[in-house]
Amino acid sequence: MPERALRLAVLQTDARPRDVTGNLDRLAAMATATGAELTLTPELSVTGYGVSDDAATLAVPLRTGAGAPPSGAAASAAPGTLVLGAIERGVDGLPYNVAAALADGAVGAVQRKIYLPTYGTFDEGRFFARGRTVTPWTLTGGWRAGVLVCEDLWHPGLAYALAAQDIHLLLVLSAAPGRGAWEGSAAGGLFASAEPWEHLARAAAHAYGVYVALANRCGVEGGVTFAGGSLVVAPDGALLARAPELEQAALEVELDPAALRAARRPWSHFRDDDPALVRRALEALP
Amino acid sequence: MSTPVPAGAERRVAAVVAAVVRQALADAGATVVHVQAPDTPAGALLLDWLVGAGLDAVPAGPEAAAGGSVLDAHPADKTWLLLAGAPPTAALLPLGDLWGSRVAALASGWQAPPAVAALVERCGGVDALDGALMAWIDGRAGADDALHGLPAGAASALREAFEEGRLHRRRAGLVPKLGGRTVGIDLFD
Repeated sequence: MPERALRLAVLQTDARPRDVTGNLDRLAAMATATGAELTLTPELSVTGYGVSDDAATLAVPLRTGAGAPPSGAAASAAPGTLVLGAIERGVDGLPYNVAAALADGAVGAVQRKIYLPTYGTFDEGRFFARGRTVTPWTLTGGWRAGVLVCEDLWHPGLAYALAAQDIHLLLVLSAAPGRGAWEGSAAGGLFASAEPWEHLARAAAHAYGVYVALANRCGVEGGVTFAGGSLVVAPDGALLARAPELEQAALEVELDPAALRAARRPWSHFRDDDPALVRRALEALP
Repeated sequence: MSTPVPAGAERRVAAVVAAVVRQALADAGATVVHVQAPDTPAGALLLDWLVGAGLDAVPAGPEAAAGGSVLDAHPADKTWLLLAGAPPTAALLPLGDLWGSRVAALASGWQAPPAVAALVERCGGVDALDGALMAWIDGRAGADDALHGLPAGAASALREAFEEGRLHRRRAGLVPKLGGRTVGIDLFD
């Protein structure tokens, strides 16, 4: 268990495609204004979402423990740990859609997006290579976080794999387009598509007794309106904070180890979970 | 029977349409929207939404002010764009992801090009036609399943019109995404 509380900020930002300097300056200013120890930003918050073939030229090396790339100088000046949505150039030379933690001017950790949506509106498989593993990050104060990028939250096996590695917090970076404006959401929001995101976040929190923070971007690229509505969910599944739609915002929440303990006392599901059984079942698949 | 309008639907759709038009103006360095066909129910509705959102939108026409750089917008709807062949020549098609039956419900009236109007009549009304199209396009049901309830001959005429629009759908103006599959953004073919 973490030994102390953690001040988290979730930034809901717009991102201008390819304007790395402008986007980073804005992210750093917002992060500095919150003064949080851990700041989460949306998917591809550094580069913008629809960068297509430019993914290759916008990609930068992001080696854990190495210094932040020169373009990240402004972000490095922000306090605490800043989790950015960026494009990594892997040692294989390929571009990866990643979450990268910057702290004290260095790259603390990188999580690559695994499931690249390539259907309907999405073309990610044409421009990015896919990640292959999920690995928890160790943060300040004894907190352990799992990190998923957008579509990866829709593959519950990944959240399970992280929860089985004893995380306290699930961080999700997304750039989810709003859909279903005619129908709206049950909570009165602009988009019906916001509902499953909230269901998935709350289900993961409830099932695993972890905080879930989701930073979804806002703004418009072409005809696509990104939905915003970022949120933070408590380990008992309760909604702690929700950002408005269509505009930039910052959510600030103090994460409390006592809430983790309280949520896990009455709900022993995950205590009793048996990853070895799951492994055997998976291995038995034809 | 007309399409029911969910509570708040007009506010939501207008907000998304205005956000996309506002960004398009910024991207193009433009300041004014000229709304074509302003005297149609859909044109008047679009003009009302854009002005209500604080955008500088005026009816297109010879008397429209020429100050500032301009983007043209046409109120063609999704039913129109899917079935009428060549889309209207305009940089913006702000209602292009809103079904004709829904425009009709919001605007208390609806106009379509003659070819689409003829299809509507064969299908027994725009609600029936759109119901079949929604199942086919947005619901991704197979065409045979989605269109089987239409009157004899109407389904094949509708499929023919849809197929003839295949090339044109790739060259349409900017359509704000509202639903699951949007002309110019999602793959249809």
